[in-house]
Parts: sequence; C-alpha cells; structure tokens
Amino acid sequence: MDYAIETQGLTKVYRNGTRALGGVDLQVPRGVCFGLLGPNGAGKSTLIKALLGIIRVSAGTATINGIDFKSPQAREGVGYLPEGHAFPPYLTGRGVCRYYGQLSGLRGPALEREIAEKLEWVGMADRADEKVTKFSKGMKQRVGLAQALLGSPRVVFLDEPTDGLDPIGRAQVRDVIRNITSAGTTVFFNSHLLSEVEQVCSELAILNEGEVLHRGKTGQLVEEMGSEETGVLVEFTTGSVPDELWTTLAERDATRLSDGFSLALNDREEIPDLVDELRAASVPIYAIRPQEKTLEDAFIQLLRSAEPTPDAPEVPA
Amino acid sequence: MSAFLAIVADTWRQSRQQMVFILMLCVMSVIVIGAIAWPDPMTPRLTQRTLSMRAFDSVSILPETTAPRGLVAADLDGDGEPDLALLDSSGLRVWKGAKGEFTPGPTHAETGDAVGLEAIQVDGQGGAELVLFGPEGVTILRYTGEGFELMGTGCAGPVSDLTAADLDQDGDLDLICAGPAARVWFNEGAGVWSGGPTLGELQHVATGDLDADGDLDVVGSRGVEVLGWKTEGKTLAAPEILTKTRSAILDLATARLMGPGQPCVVLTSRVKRMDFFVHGTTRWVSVAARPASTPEVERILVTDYNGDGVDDLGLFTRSVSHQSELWPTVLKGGLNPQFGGPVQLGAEARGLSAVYRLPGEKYPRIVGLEGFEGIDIPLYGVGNNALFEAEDASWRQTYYESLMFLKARGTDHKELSQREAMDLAVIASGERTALERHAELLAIKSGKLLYTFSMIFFIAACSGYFPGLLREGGVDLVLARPISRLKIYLGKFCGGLVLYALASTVASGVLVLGIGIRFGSFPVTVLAMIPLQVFTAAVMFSILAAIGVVFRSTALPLMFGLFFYLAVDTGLGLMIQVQTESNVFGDGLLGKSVEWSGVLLPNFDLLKFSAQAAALKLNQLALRPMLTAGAWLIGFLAIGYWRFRSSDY
Repeated sequence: MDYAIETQGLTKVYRNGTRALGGVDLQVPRGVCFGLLGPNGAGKSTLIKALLGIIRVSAGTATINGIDFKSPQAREGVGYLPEGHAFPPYLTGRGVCRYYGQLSGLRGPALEREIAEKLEWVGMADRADEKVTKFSKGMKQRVGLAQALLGSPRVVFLDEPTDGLDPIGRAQVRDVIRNITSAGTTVFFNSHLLSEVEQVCSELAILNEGEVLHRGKTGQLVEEMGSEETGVLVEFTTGSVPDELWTTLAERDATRLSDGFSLALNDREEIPDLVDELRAASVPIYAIRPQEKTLEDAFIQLLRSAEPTPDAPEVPA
Repeated sequence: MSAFLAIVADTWRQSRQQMVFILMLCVMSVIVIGAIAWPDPMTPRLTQRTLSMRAFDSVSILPETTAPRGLVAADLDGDGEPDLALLDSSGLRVWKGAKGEFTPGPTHAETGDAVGLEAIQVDGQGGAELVLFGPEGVTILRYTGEGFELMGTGCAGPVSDLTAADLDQDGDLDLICAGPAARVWFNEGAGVWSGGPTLGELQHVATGDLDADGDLDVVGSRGVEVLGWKTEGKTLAAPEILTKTRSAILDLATARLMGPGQPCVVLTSRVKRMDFFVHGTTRWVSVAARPASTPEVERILVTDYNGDGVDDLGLFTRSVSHQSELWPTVLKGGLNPQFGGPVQLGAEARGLSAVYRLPGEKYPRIVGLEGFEGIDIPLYGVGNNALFEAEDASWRQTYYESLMFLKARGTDHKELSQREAMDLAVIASGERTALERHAELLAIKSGKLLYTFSMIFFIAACSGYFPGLLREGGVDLVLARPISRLKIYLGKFCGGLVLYALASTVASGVLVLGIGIRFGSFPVTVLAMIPLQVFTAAVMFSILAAIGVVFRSTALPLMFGLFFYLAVDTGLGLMIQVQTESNVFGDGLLGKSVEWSGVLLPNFDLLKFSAQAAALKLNQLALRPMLTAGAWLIGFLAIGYWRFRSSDY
C-alpha cells in the first residue's frame, strides 16, 4: 500500500543518552486525518521534527509521499504548524504567509491568491495586514494554520493546532481539517487534547516514551479497551436515599454524589432490578446515565497497562 | 531559487530597522566627517611659519620720476639680458641691462596719452617690443638699442589694460585689449593685425587654460563681475560670469598656485581683497582667500619668487600707508594653495613694479620705483605628515617613482612627503587637476573613516541575523521547507552582505555627491574602496555567523565582533608595524608570535590600506592579508555551516 507517511525503526537518541524515539514504525494512509496521541514527553513533536528534517535521526528510515525524508524534495507539498511557533516580529500576518509560502516555492499572483484564501479560511482576512506582534496567541495560531495550508499541500503536520484557541476557533480548525481531508490531504494531527483527536481523526497512534503503543482506527482503541473490561458504571440522579438502602448500596461500592450516586454494575441488565429496589424504598428517580467508555478512558487505560508493574524488572531504556 | 531569494529578502526585512540605522549613521558620519574635514573654501588657509629670508638690498638705480604710468623689465634688445622701460610724464625711457647693472638709454617723448606699458614679443624675433596703450589705442615700438622704431598701431579705441597670448595658436602673440570696447586683436605676422571677437566693456584681462582643455581661455573684469570666455581657434564662446565681488576689481591675473597644471584666477578688490578661483569640472570654485592686511592692491605680479616651480603672488599697492607684499605659495601636494609669509617689501615698492630674472639666477629680482633685488625664500612647510604611515617596499617604490617623475620635470621636491610627492606626480602627469586631486584625497580620507564606522555598524547589525533565524519556534518553520540548509545559511549570509554593500555604496555615493557639489569635482574613484570593504565585512560576518550559530546569542557575537575588529584593526596592526620596522619584540618567541600573528590573523588595517590604494589607483593590493582573510572567510563559513547542518532545532 502507498502511504503518505511511513516510518521504519525511526530512532532518536540525544547526545546525553536520552532516547526520544525508540524505533517508531508507522504508516499513515493518504487522505486521512491521523492523530498522534501521547503524554507529555512521549516524543510526538520529536517524531514530526524528525520527519521534517528539523532534528537528525539516529537510525531508521522514513518516507513522505514516497520520498526519502532526508531529501529536501520530501518536504515539497508539505505544510507544517509547529507547537509554540514564533513568527518574525517584523512581519504582518500576510507577510508571514508570503514568506513561508515563498520558502515553499510559491510565488507571484498564485501565492497572493492562496494567502487570501487561507487567511479567509482561518478567519484572519480582516487583520492580515497587522503586525503579528499585535496578535493574540489564538490569532497567531490561526495565521500559523493558514501558512501551513498554503499551496494545497498533500501532507499537513499540525502540532497542537488548537492550542490557545477559543471554542469557536477550535470548531473552525476542525472544520478546516475536515475540509482538507475530504479534498485528499493527509493531516498528521498531533495533540494531547484527546477529544479533538476523537472528533476529527479517523486513525490514530499512541506514542509513549518514544514507542508506538497502539495504532488503528479511532473507535478501535475504545472498543479494544472496552472489550477487555466487564460491567458498566451507572449514575443515578435521585431524591433522598434512606439510610437502610444506602447501607446496602455502599456494600456494593456505590459512590455518593451530590444529587444521587454512582454504582458499577456487572451488566446493564441489572439496572431494572436496581430501579425496582429504589422504587420500593420510595426513592424518586430523576435520571439514569450509564457511563460509556471514552477515548480518554481507553488512552489512560492503555498507558497504565503499559506501565511496568512494581514487581516486574525495569526494562533499560 | 525563489526560496533562496526569500531568505535573502527576509534578512533585509529583519534588518529593516537596522538598515535605516546603518544608513542614518553612515550619512551622519559623512556629514560629521564633512564638517570636520572639509575646509571652508572662503576661509584663509595660511601656514603660520616663519620664513627665513635673505635680506635684500634696496638699490637706487632709477632717477626720480613723475607721474609714472608703466614699468616693465624685459629683454628689449635681444641680448639675453633684461632691460628696463619706464613710462612717465617725460615719455618712454629705457635702461639697458648688463649683468644686473643698468645704464641709461634713449628716451621716446612721443607717447601721447598712453596710460600703460607692456613688453611683448610681437614679431617673434629679437627682443620684446614695447606696447603702449591708452585712450588712443595701442602703439607698438621696437627698441633698436639706439632709439625707437614704430612698428605699428592697433586696437582702435581706448585701452585700459592689455595682455598678450597666442589664442589662435598660430605661433604669434595676439593682443587682448580691455577698455570700453574690449576686443581681441589677432597677430597675423609682419605687423598685420586683424580684429577678433569683441568682449564688451572690460577693465582688466588675463589669459590661461582655465578649464584644462588645452586651449587658452580669456578672463576679464567688468566692474564687480569676473567673466570668462572659452576659446576654440579664433572663436570665443559666450561669456560666463565666473563670480562677482562686492566692490570694483582692481586687478586680475592667472597663476598656477596649486602646482603644475590648471591655473587659478586671482583677483583683488577693495572690499574682498583677494580671491582665488579654479574652474572645477562643473563650476568655478573659490578655493582660498587672503586676509585683509593690504588694501588696494593694484597690481598682481605672478611669478615663481622662491624657485620651487610653483607660482607665487606679488601684491603691489600704491598706498603710502601700506607695504607691498610677496605671498609665496607653499607647495603642499598641490592642494589648496597655502601661503607662507607675507614678505613685506617696504613702502618703496609701489603698484608700478616689475619682476625680472637674470640668466643663471634661481630667484627673480623685483624692480620698484626705487629698486629692489635679490630675495630668497626657500621652500618651507613640507613636514612628513605621511598619510601612508604603514609604508612598505611597494609604497617606497611608488614614492621613489613619484620623485623621479618630478625630478624629470625639473622640480626638486626632496623634502616632500610620500603623499605630497605622489599628489604632485599625479597632478603633473595631467591625470588630475589639483582641484580634482584635492577632492579625491578628501573623499578617500573620509571614505576611510566611513569604512571603519560602517564596519562597526555592520557588526552591530549582523550579530543578530543568525541568532534571529535560529530563535526557538521560528527555525522550525524555515527548516521544514523544501530548501537545503546550505541555501538557508548562504541566503542569510549573502542577504546581510548585499545589504551592507548597498548601504556602503549609498553612503559613499553621498560622500562623492557632497564633495562633488562642494568642489565641482566628483571623486568617483572612492567607490573603488567598496569591493575590499565588502570583502572585509564578509570576513567579519563569517566569524560572527559561526559564533551566532554555535551560541544562538546576539550579544556574544556583537561583543566579540567589536573586540576582534577593533583589537585586530588597531592593536595587532600596530604591533606588526612596530615589529616590522623596529623589531621591538626581538627575534625571540614574542617577536616570532607577533610576526606569525600577522600571517595567521586577518589584518583589517592592511585591507583598509589596500582599499585606499585601490581608490588612489595605485594598484597596491596587500596580497598576503587578503589571502589570510580569504582563508578565514572560507574557514568560518565552513565551521558555521557545519554546525548549522548538524544541529537539532
């Protein structure tokens, strides 16, 4: 299969011995939004920088659009929004786009049209001619996204693209990502905001300590994590619970909430029985909410499962 | 390529504020340098030196005279000895000269209303003819030894002043007569005169190749105006007003006050006393003025009074309360005329004086109404203030060649400094006029200062180029583009350098323009300094770029750059010079270290020196420092790029 991004054994060990990437094998299909998740320090940004030649890898190979990632040609048709970017302070929003567009080989009227279009996409057309030093963090982020999309790149690396954006801004970014992926662009989405990833990415990988813990469809992880567990957590919003009944519930590890309680049941089928018990005790029931497993749950569960057990011998890095 | 140019352009944008800063400082430097170095042409520039002067005797050789109107000293009988002729109320009298002694000769009583007398070689053979002029025109007499023979009359109409020059270059001296209807009279030979162009009303006339085009030009005074006519064959161009004075002009002459080559126009007036004018490339420039110590100078006698090959001024007054003066020009490299003296001639030398030179004598003699002779004013005021202190064999060779050149021209200038000798050689060779040379040297001196200042400004500006590129969060965006790190590095480097080259060119252009406007001569040769200036900047920038890439700091390269440039420029240059010339550090380790440091370290002082030589068209490139600097340039470019290429960001 022809992948937009493919890595094999990508390794980065710094001079001080820190291993940032420990042989990353990854395949990113074309035309998808691919999420890269991981805790802080997992190596997410390092992986992107390695792919873009910003840092030098210690071992391994990779291709972007089928071209060896070490060649400057591999970065043709690639957009990039780094985390914590700093634009030249002497440029305007439009100037930023023009400069990086020129560095990407764009020029002339086509570049100007591209700039106008992409700034419109991110909602910065009105303030494009102001100095970037006057922009808020969110506005800089929008301009950053605009410059990353110049020239209709085939692959776009977005490192924490919603960082600093308000809810409306985040929604705009999500729309933009959906639009470009639907047009065939591959988006490599790096974020620690799992909900964002969950909403826009169809595939994802979880990186931890420089190694890929999981790779697959977005729902697949939740399903896999869900299948490993039994029972369901249910929240009950109720009126006052008599002490006798509460004693019984407490024995079943129920947790008291401000307006009710939550209780882990072995099966959803146990819910009607519990409702009967509450009714029998004349407890008013206002709401019953079985808690679904989220990506976050799955993510945390995955990371915990990856942690070495106290008894197990430590694996040297 | 477009990505590379984008990097270059970004360096310019990055430097926009610094560029303005650099340009402003450069222009300001030019202005400051100009204010300091450019002398006000209207300010007298007199050397306040005491001239040793052999006392000269006053010898009465002429009887008392009444109403003298003309006095000339010339060889009238063709025997090679100067004779004297006096026009006064009793007529025209001649004293025959022999070995400095004068014996009374015949008298010619029929002089009519003649108001003036000149001795002019009209027929091209034998002695000079006596030309009397006045309200009735011109009368030409030939002195035969026994009496006078009328050669003819001419110049119909009143004549108030007269001069002779071969304007049409046919071998005969023509007459230019001033008066209510001034006119040129061409000498066709055999006593035949033909009327030439009319010049309107003029009081005084003189001739000289004022525009250095090989043709004699005419200059005359009309009231307070000085007018000039350029000649071409027998035609004169339309008159040009050269200058105006505030009071009537008393006398006018041309003199080579600035060494060989282009003459100045010298004039006196009651109010302004005296001005010297030189025709520059585009306009007339007043180059010096004499202080008002002698009013009413009625006659200017120009000749080489002190035997140094350069015209001096004899200013003669009729005022009984003032003395006539000699103002010997002190030759200082043929630049602005600077004058020693004055030498007071005493009350006896009145406006009607004459100068003559005995065969074999170096110094001329002056004859006044009561007679003077024998002054000796040696050449003074040429100390060794060499511009090129750091002389080496090649400079000495240039100096030697300059002296040889001057010697071949019959000019003895052993006491001149190297620069002065070279200046004179350049002027004497006809490559430049004195004024052009003056403007050129001024521009080069200013350009050298500009060179140093602009380097300091550039160090301040370029120290931040690479650290700015590598700032966190910014470098990622550049490196993620489809452009190699080599192009990024070179783009940044070239961007800074081109910027500096432009700034330097603009600043030098302002300098050339400023001097050109002021002196009428645009010393474009100063632009020849720019290539070496940019080369020096490239060497310095390569070092600062490497430091910036390694430490990602602006302050460090800035401090290092300033220290390195100034320390190497002054300290090392000085040590090497001292060691080379005097072996101050001995032949031991210290001495060897100093010598080797001159080989191993880039010597910016010598590079600057070479740039200056390039501007002077002396072809004196200091090759070794250039090779060393070139090696540093390549080495530090390689180090900086290697670090940039191998670093993670």
